[in-house]
Amino acid sequence: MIASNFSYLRPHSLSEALSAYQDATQKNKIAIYYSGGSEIITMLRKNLIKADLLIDLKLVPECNQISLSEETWTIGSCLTLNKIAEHPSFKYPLMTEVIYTIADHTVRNTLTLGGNICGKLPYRESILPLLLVDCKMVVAEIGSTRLKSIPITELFNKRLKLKSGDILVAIKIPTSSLTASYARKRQEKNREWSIDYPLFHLVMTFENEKIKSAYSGVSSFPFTNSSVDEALNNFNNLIEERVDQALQAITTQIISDYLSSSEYRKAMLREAMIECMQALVK
Amino acid sequence: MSIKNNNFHQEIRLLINKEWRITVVRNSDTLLRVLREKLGITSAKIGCENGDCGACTVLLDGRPVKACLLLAVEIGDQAITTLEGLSDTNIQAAFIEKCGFQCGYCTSGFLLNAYAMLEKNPPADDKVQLQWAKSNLCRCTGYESIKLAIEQLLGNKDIDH
Repeated sequence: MIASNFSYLRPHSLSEALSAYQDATQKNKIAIYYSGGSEIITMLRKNLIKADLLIDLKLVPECNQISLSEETWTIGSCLTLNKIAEHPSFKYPLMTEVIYTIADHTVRNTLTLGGNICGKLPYRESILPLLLVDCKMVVAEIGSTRLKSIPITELFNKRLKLKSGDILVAIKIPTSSLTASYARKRQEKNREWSIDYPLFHLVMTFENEKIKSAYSGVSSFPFTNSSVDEALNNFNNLIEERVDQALQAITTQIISDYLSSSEYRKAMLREAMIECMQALVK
Repeated sequence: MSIKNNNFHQEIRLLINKEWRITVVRNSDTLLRVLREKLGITSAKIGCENGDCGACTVLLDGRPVKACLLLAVEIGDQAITTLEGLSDTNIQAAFIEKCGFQCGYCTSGFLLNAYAMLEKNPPADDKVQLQWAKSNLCRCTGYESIKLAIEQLLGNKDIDH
């Protein structure tokens, strides 16, 4: 059970949500935006975070849309992962595959895209397919009546660089981004019947003769790295050579934890990168 | 200020097994705790309280969810189904026939998850079954008898669940 007490609010608009946050922080209260809530509930139960006010965004219409307009999909941040993966019209196969690896089917009826992206856990795997496309993050800011559309490359660096009180409202994905060839490898410690955090999750796309890659679980945050991609795209070298150079270009520390040592993680990642490259660049 | 609607408590109504129930809860009470401790609906079990084991699975508007990962105050008008709301269903009969339980602690969660899966995806192939079933853990049966119970119903897909 959660031992602490907090207030709970369910605003019906972005302005109501932003005002509530601003009002709380002005009174030196800790306000947290609440979407799916699974991570927040777990951390509250373990006393890892404190909250005076939870602001539940699930009734805000802009956070719950999934629509296509002018060849761009808009995916609301409060949509559950299953709703996105099972949507009859939105077809981004790489994203669907990645979603199906996150948690389990029942939990994905609660987990939201925004919650997974903005969460505190290091994996945040649902951002991987977004890092490989030209998507924009729609953000509502305190003190502003207009929504901002910011390219993910400008907003994401280890985590989404939102200012305190800002709300990730939706993600805009152009339809042209959804059809690239892709390969993916998620390595768990025990593959049989495995619902577990990964040693790593690697996704690659191949489009216009260029490879792009994104990684989760390798370091303490998901990332893309232009130097890594540059090495992978050096078609003068054999695949294994390119992968070895790409691994050298990873400047962030490869983590060592209860799942794996950094050496084993790196060795398995090398094999996975070779496998994905061989699948993509036939 | 009365406890009924102060900053940390509120009176809520929940639609459970087609019946409205009213109770006062802490904002921080999970749905699992409210079902069991406020409303006496004990089929949903306390297992890990971490969203891993599935013993607390209930249906929310027909979708399986883990009640330990939801606050009671966020449910609103969504319809909750617990095992008490399933009566004489073929899924329950299949679990009995195939001995799909031993201690019974996980059974409520498995039954509701299977019931929802059969409602949504008939017929469910092995891949879909496995995906849904991975949401629930069992320490007693080794899963084979549970799988047989579900497959029996997939084989009789024309029969009402």
